[in-house]
Amino acid sequence: MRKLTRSFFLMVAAGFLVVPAISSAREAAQEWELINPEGAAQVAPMQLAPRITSLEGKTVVLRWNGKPNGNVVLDRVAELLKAKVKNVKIIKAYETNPEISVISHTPEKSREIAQKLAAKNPDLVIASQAD
Amino acid sequence: MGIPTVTVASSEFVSLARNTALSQGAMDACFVTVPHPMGMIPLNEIRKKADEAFPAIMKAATQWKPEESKAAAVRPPYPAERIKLTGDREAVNDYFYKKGWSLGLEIVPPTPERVAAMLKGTTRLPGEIIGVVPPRDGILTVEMAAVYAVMAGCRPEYMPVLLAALEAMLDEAHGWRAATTTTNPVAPLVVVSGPIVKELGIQNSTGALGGGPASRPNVTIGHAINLIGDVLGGSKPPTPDATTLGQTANIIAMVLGENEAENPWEPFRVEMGFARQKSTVTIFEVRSFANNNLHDVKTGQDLLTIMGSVMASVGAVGETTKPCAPGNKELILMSPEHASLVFSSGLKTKGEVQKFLFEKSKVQRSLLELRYSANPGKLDNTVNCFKGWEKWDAVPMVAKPEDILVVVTGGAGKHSVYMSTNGYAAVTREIKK
Repeated sequence: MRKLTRSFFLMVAAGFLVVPAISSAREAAQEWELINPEGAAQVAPMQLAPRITSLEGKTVVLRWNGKPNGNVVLDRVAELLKAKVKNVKIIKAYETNPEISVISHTPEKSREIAQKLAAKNPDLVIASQAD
Repeated sequence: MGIPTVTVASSEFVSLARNTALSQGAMDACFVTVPHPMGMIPLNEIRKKADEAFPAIMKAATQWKPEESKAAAVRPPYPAERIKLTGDREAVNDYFYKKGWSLGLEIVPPTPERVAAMLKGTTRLPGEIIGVVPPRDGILTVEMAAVYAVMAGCRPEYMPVLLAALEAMLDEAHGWRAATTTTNPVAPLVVVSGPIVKELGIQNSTGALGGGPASRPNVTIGHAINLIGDVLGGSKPPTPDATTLGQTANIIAMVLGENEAENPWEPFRVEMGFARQKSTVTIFEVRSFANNNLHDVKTGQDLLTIMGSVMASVGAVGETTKPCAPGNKELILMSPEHASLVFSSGLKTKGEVQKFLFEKSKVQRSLLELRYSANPGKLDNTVNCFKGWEKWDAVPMVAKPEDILVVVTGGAGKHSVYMSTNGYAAVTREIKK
């Protein structure tokens, strides 16, 4: 028992010796000059188009990016628009131009898709993503 | 173009959509959110979601107004901003981590002195703009690449490899924006080919992707690449990097060397159109890592037949066939022992290996029909272009045999890995010192 007590005492004493050594492992504070890695971003703010005040008699183009069920949402939106808005003209771009029912992935492809949608002279584009 | 828009997005992905719009310059954009998920739910449920969203769509169409556009503070890309901090190295790391400037691993503080030393590894001017890193469109200068090289623990002599890899990634054909924002578990993989592999000690034998004491260039270049993508490019999960699970190679990108000494065919860089005496990087974005643990096959043809089957199952059925994706390449990392067996079985050129794999990786159209059972038009029209194929036809997973690339790498052992890719080109750049 005495031997065990002595061992315990030595272990605790050793601990006191070790703790300051661990504390001192942290480096001393210093003044740092560093380069901010965030850098600059290339953003050219775009002006958004003004809203239309009514959809009556207007042309609405529906754009789907190919994700599952986005077309179902747009199909239902088309049904509701026809039922609720007088003389609205609906163009489902995913039926007229299935080749653009994709995720664009690049700004160039985005522009190409936007140009094809704009060629239909819409007053409004409703797009649906999904997933 | 002057046309107002309303975009319907699921609650889980609207943030990604906003970030994408922001990167295109739309400081604000009109979204209507529907509760996630939208895909893989019954027709009546998705129609109900559309019904519930319709009033918001109508309101957005006629009443939504953007918040006054705020031009982002324009900061010149070079010289980069300098900041002051007080504390020890741990405090610097805590600060960087909290600011989103590191990925959880310790970084080396990028002091101007360390960055200047790193820049000695290249002859290029620090203010040169290499490109714009998506999706944030962070402007990458040579100086900024050096900053991240310091943070990742690179040595100055690694700079030419890092710069060449970044140039390859910035090529539109590589599809960096798609890779870094998709829900797929995509991560970069860099193959280095040429004399520089030996010069820098890039690991190309046992454990080429596995770390170890000889892997310093592999892991530090890989860390620098992902720091640049995630911090300068601004793509960390959960948004705009929307990866469902992710993978650790999205923290340390995979970098390996070709094992040219044990490659029985032309060096990879020669196959990619470069001179034998040059060194190159080729960049892939990979999804799955499928090992072919094949110790007991008799011939190279047997071996490639099994590999083709793995490619069909993992890459075509599990992910997607990509014959319509322009330039898409799939990747096999072949061990030297497997390469030796294939070569001695009579396949004396890479072209013969590619043709064999092309035939053996074909997949029955009926399985792809199951894959697109909720969206059959996608199989025929947009992604896969399989119009005209019959249900039981074996259809190719890529457009042509040359779209299956084989790189001999790794050490002793009978393991070769199929790396399925994200559907984009493998871009190669010469490493210039």
